[in-house]
Amino acid sequence: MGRYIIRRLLQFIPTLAGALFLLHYLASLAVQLNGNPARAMFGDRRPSEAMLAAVSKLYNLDDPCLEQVGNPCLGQFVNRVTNLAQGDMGSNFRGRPVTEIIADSLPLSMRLAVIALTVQILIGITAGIFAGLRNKGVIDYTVKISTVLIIAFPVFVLGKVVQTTVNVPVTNALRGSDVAPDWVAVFFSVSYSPNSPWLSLMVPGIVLGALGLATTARLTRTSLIENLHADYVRTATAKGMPRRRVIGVHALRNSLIPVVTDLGLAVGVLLSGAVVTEAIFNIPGVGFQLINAIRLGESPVIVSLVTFFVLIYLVVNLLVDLLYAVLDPRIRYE
Amino acid sequence: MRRPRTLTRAAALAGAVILTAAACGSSDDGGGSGGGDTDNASSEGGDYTGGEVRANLTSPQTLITTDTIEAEGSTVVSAVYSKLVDFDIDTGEVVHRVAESIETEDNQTWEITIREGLEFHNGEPVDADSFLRAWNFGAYGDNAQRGSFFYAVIEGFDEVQEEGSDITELSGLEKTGDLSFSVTLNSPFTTFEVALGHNVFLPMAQECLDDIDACNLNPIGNGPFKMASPWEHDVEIALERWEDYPGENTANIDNLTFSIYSDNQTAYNDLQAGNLDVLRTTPPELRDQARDQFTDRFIEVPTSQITVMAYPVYDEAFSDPKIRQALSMAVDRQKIIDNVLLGAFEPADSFIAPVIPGYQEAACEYCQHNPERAKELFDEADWPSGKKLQLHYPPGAGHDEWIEAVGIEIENTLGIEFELRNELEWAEHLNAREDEEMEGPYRSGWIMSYPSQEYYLKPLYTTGGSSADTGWTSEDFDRLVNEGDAAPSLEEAQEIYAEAEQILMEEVPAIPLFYGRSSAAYNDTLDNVIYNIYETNPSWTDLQVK
Repeated sequence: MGRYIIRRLLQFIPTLAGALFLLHYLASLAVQLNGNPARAMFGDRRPSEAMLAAVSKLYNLDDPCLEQVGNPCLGQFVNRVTNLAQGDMGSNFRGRPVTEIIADSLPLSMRLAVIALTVQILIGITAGIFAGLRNKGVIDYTVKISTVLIIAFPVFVLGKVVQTTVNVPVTNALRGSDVAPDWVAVFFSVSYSPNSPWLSLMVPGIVLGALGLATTARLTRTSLIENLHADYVRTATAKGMPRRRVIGVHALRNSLIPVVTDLGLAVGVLLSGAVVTEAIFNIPGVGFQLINAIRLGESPVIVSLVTFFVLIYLVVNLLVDLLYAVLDPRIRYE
Repeated sequence: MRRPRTLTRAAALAGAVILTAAACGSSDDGGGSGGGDTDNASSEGGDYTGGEVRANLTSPQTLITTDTIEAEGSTVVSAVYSKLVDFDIDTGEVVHRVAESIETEDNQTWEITIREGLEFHNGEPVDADSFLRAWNFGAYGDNAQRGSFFYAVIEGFDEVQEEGSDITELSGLEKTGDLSFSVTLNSPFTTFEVALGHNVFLPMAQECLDDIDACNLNPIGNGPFKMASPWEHDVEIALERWEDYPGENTANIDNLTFSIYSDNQTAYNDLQAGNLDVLRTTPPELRDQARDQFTDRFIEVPTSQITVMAYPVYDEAFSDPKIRQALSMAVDRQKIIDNVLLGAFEPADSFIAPVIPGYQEAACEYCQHNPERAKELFDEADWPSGKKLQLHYPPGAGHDEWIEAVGIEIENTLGIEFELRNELEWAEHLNAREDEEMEGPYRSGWIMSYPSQEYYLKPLYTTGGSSADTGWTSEDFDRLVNEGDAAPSLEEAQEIYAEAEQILMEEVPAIPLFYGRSSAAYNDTLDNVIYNIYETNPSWTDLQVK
């Protein structure tokens, strides 16, 4: 087990290095193709050459390789990696260190992901179990139709629709009325409020979690149905074990392996979905930072943040693999 | 002396330009009774209401005065600082604020005296040093302050701009007393007094200069509001009323908080939900809805923004003024505004925005839609047969639809086909403009930094102008602009600049298309909302909470 983990961790290094180089190359290519972001900053008001040179220098955009399309800017890459190794991820165009940006925004995105995953696990697995137990029954079809309906909406549509049809009217209705306690209004607030770090993230979290509901519910259902017909379940039932224990411990535990795999992958979906959800609900998390950085062409932020996403993805997938062993005793890591 | 303010309503109804100056009180008494707005806002009238106002903001680039050249940062900076001069909301006239007097004999050497007893929020005095400190810092090349080009008129600018220059101070600045200093310009420039209304000409406290990064988060100003807490990145910038503010334009409210949004649609939803009191800019696609919903609380007045399609006059096809005139007359601006731009603009009928003193209404014959005349002019000129009109603009900035509409208008009137050219991203598009690589009219926008005609003429259309890229030149025009710069008074300068603009109206180096329109909306919890077109914001000090 220990050796397995160490081997996996060592595999992180080439993956991260590769991702870092690709990102660096793409970020340089973006400057080479789209022009100097420092120039864009001034817009129609043209800066003098000295001015443009000074601002370009400030943002490390003065390397001549940034003018040759296709040049991988290896010198800059080496600098970047050296700085990164020393914990310096550079800064954005507002002079804010990327480390500080991540430190401020990550907790928000984590909270959002926790809420989304909780929604996905609680509702998704429960719905899947009921659907699996009543195969082709009313509940099965209800779950199928409702979850497919939700997944049919892209997240930006779902987010905006919920915001304008639920949050805005509810907030308006609650204002000035003493009936509902304050937390209800916060729960339905249109945008993130730093004073209620969990409550005001509930609606965006539910929206984000709703996206993965269909997959989780369907996977649980199929897997459960399959296992209910397995020999070991029949044996368990035959020897007189209570049904609750047969389903809850024997069938379900085995059925969760594909679901857990999917949840691991869902973290990736959550990260990308968070980009959109965070923008809609004005949550200054990592996705929000990423979208702003892309808009302005802040390559230090883009490269560091996405590398960070890659790292999270790797760690989560390692955890998922380790979870298999817990769920299924037949799986062992050597 | 209280005068009812109906600017927003009247303007919304009529789409009117500026209300004619019914301004009470003279504003040029040098002592700086700040003109119309201050009379109204002064605490003597008991207008103070207290309360908190929330407004939206997009993340500013910076809050350092000399580095701020965009609307978001200057919104905060203008509330936290008090400038040497402000502009009367109704007339655009210069009103002395921190300046006791601004005097000049030859319009080249300016003697600026500061009012006595002014302080920064940290207790430092606002004196001559505080101004020299700020301007020298802003102009020094290695500091890479984005507002540095505004100091280019001051003597010694080129020397301090050089990379690694040993000279760190503008030779044109000289302290002449604790509260007075003189500014020597490269050449006479009457409009300098107006230019002083830009935020790069604000003072800076020593504490700010000592730690610029800290000052960026927590600006130390001298204005009616001060920072309640440091800038919380991507969350909010909270200001509070400065109780000891010595000026006339004291704030009527206790707290002014800017909530930072990355998406204005979310801000609009928050306004509807009542979490936001003021929405500074409504997203274009929601303006119709906002107009219906907020009715008289939706402020639509012309702004200083102007959108043109500039001609690459360096291209032979556009060297004939008749072609340029014909294309300009072929476009029905109002139709495009109504059908494509959702009423977010006004048709442009000159090269200078209507809010600028000296604007000449409907003086431009070739800016009017006149298809018959357009055809005549087009037939007289020589357009290579079969040549398609190339229309250039940067992608992803919402220009596609209206530029296509412009193309269709021209095609329908003159029978030339057009091609949309948006293959170059913003920065590359700007580079191509500078390098004179455009093959047809290209979108160009301009917004004032200070309300003067000069700002719309000199940088854009003089030979070698700092932002000129059309390749159009005219000796007469250059001469008139120079004369305007050196005119003995602002009034005379206005007349000469107007004469220079006439040449543009004749020669049409660009098609004036639209003036911008404000789109602020506010909730009925607020009172006394006066839109300041020179700040493109509601006047924060005048705001009251019901």
